Amino acid sequence: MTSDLRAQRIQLQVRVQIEEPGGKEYLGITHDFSTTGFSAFLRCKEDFVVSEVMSNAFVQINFEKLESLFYDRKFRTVLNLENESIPPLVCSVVRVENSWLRGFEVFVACRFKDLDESNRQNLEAHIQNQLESGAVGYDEVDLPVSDDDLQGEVIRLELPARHMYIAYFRDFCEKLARDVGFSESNAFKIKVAADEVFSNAFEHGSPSYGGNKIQAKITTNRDGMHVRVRDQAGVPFDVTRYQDTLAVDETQRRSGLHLLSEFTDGWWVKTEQGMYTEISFQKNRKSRGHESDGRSEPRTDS
Amino acid sequence: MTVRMQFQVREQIDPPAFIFELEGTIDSERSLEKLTHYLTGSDKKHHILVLRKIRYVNSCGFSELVLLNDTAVKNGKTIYFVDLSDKVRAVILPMGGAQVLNLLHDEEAALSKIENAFA
Repeated sequence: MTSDLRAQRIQLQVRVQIEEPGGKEYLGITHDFSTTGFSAFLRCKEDFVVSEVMSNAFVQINFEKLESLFYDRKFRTVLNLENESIPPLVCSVVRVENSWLRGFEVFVACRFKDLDESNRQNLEAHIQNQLESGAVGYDEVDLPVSDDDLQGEVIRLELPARHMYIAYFRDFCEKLARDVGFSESNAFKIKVAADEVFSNAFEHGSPSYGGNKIQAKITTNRDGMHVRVRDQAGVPFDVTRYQDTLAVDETQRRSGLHLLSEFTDGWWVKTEQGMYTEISFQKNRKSRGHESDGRSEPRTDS
Repeated sequence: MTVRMQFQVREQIDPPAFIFELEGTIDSERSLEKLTHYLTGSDKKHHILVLRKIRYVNSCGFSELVLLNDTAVKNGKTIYFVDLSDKVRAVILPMGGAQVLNLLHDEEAALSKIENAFA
């Protein structure tokens, strides 16, 4: 069984009005929606960012500053659907990306907090209508799930399933990423993602003192880095819990696997029950899926 | 399991608080074991955890921080987490840390909050 753990997203542009508690109003446009309608990526106009940045007197803008500026902010959003009436929704900002290609432009990933059942159905129906009419399409994600798809330099590792090797593995991946040209920021993201997949194999795929091994295969090429980590247990787990990359549970917390969605360009699970579970992720040197719309990799290192 | 986290503690008289300076990585289930014991046994209500020298936190470490905070709350204590490095912040925020932990910019901000609590 192979699963793409990214929620299916569609490129649906809906005008959106964003209201702050202080009375400020901004206009934006959604870039894409999850098909469940629970979350959306908002593309905000230039003045939105510039006024925010000016009011906070940031001389130099970088991703962390933008992120801290928007993080945990809650906006009221008014979705202007063609034939559907949805009252204002409170959305919480869960991720911010900025574009360096076309001047100041910000993409705010948000989750609708108070989308009730009937409004959710309205939104979902609108999304379905748009899909059926062919007006919008899915945001396609390449799935490099076959070994044949991946070319480049390959490093194979086999490590004992012991906790101490988590740190070895993540540090190795970070150093390798730097050495093959990733920025410090992206090498760190690879480190965190590598930690999560190896930890997952250790915790869920390796019985205590079972003498298990964890196998890893790292492929580097012109596109970026692909990391696969395989345990020897093959215990299936509920992948649907992690499908919506923006979802949080009722305690407002997310699992480590959500970090994979946050820090990589895609991640996948393959299970042969009783044999192995393999989690892999891809980190691109440049986000291919986002190039066309101006979103670029956040730059944090000068 | 290797624990690569150590801490030093300072006592603040006015406003009363313990200030813990943590150093190392928080990446395993036992990373905060000693700190939890120390904190639950302390006679002060307010505690500040300075994370400036924490080099790395993973999702397991984040869970430990939340658990520590939950334990403190259950015991009628408050923890303020201050001075997070960019890399620690990069992991904690996407995990929902701002919703479940008292994250503040620095020690002064935390002391000011504590002072207000006593005002």
